[in-house]
Amino acid sequence: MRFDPRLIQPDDAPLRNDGELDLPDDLAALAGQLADDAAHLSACYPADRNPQVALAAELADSAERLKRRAWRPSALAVGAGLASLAALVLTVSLSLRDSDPVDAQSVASPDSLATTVSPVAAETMSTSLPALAPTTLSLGELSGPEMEALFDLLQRDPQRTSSIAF
Amino acid sequence: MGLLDLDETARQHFARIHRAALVLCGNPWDADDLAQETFLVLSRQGSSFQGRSSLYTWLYGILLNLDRRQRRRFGMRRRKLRVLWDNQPADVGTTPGADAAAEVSEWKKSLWARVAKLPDGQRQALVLRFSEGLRYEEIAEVLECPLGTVKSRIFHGLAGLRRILEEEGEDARQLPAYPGEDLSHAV
Repeated sequence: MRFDPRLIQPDDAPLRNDGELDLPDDLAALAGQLADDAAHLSACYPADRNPQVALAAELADSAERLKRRAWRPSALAVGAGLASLAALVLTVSLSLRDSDPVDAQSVASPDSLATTVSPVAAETMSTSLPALAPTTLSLGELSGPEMEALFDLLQRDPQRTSSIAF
Repeated sequence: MGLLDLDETARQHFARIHRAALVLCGNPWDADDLAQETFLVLSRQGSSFQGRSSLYTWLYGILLNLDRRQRRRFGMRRRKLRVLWDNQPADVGTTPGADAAAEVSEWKKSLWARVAKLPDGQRQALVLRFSEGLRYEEIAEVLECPLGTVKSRIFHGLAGLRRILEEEGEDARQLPAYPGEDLSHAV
């Protein structure tokens, strides 16, 4: 495309010697018309003579204060809710860890792993291993899915003695 | 700023701020809101006024900032509505959309409705010069730009306005004039 210098407007406006804009007649007429239109509009829709600006400012301030005050209790409630949820999650995870003997065994100390066992003793140990220590689990602390999982485990392993006490 | 000060300032300057807002918005309801909001900003940030310029030029600055923000918000809303509108079947759109601006007929007939199509800088310079009758130095203060830029924006704003009128196929001389009002300050 051929360069068209008319696309670029010169930055400087034409000025008279006294620094005023040197407007051509048509632009001066437009300027006069703009001033006329503004005066006409303002005559049609005059401003309030006694605007209650101070009162409006007071009202706006008090509305903002109320909004801030209304936010405070809800923020506290949300915080308390989050804290109780975190506590619940912590309690459930701790109780699950306590109730799982296999996990407790798997987290044995490195010292116990390092001890050497004689082959005879190991044989006797292996025969006595299935007898797991009885654990007590409070069903009240379990959530629905956790309880469902517990019943699944009990069904899968019917030999394990289980009893429910109220 | 104290309660009495604010009322006194409003009594002195509310009318001129309202007039500028009216020319910018095109309807008296939005103009009222915009002018009130300008003074609310003054009540909150009045302490930051250092007196290096006139109070009314400072108020014009607040007004123009609020207007610019409102236009941006309005433009975004209009674009979102346009997307929804374009997804509607064509025969549903018989009534004007919610984004249709509510301008009074006097404003629509006036040249200020055409000025609204100009870029922000030129539009603001024209409002401050020909509606408010501010001197070039004062306009430069409000718009925070050099004096030469103000003159350039006014000149190119008027030239742009002439171009818009030519495109619309009408002549500025055919527009209704309102004689009898003293407007010697403006030109």
